[in-house]
Amino acid sequence: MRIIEIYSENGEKSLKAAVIGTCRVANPLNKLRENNNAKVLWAHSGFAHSIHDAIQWVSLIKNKKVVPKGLYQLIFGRTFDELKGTETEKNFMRGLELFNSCDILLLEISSNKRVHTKNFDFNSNYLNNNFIRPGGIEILNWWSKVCKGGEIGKEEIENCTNKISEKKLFTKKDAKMILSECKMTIDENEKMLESINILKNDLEHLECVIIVNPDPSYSDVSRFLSNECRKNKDFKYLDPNTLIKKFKVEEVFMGKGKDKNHYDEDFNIKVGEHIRKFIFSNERILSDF
Amino acid sequence: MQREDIKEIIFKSIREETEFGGDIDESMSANDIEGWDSLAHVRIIFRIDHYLNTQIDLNSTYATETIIDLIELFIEEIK
Repeated sequence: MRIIEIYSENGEKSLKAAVIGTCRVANPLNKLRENNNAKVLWAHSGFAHSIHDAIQWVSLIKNKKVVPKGLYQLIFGRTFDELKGTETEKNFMRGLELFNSCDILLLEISSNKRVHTKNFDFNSNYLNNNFIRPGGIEILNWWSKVCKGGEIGKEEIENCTNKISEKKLFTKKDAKMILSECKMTIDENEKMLESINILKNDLEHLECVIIVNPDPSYSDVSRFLSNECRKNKDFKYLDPNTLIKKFKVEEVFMGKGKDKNHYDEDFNIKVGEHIRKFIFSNERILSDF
Repeated sequence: MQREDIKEIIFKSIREETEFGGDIDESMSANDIEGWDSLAHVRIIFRIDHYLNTQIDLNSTYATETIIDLIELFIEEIK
């Protein structure tokens, strides 16, 4: 999550934006700094994919939720020690002050898949890199079952707990909680909208701008949100494909256009400018649907 | 390990993670195989890693379009 001050093209206006999402919004907005068109006022490690990740980030900055030491890696992507966790509270207090003075929420929703326990939402990339991969084949088998909605027996949880704690990846208590409670659920479009509205109602002082994942596999979600925005005007809506379609795919994405998860380094600035132009415009929706 | 062995391991991993029952051809991509979404992709790669005893950079796998690209990537990784 970041709080970024963004300046209009003529430099006469500025908007303070709370930014929740992935590198597809963070990197383009960071690039705006190079021409003094934006200033990062606050940042905390950790990307968000689903609307539930976003709701959790708002709860964290509002101090309604605190991440336990042992779960830092799955929510912030780095350990408590790496992030100097003892200073987190102070950092979030400073973030809250700025958050309360924000004008807009730039919210990237890049997935309708939710990875969560009873109390916490996990970033799936962090779970993959910090729990499943280092855990080995037993943990991968557990995760496959979780994703497929299979039954997981007590004995399997016990074995996996021992594997994780033997490797000193997590404490036995945290490992057992994750292995027993973790679920992967997919939001229906209506359910996602309901969650967006919960977040919006909680943040009445902010204009909400939803930015969607440009990956064509999410086009059903994008079409739905685009239509809802047209009907209800509750939020502004930006589909990056309105920009991407003007360029060759090799220019847009990394790996000569093959890696659709990451914008090419030189393309980030174009996305940043596209977002900037949109938020200062009177348009409510930029969509191809 | 021969190319054919790597291909079979990749096919096996795709089947295990997606439960796809149809024919798999190396010219196919994730879009052609039901169940191969973003979460399944990572599990497929980790499973291939397990069978081949590799530790591939996950980011490099996002730039593969077809199973052929994936096979070539793992051939390079094993070298």
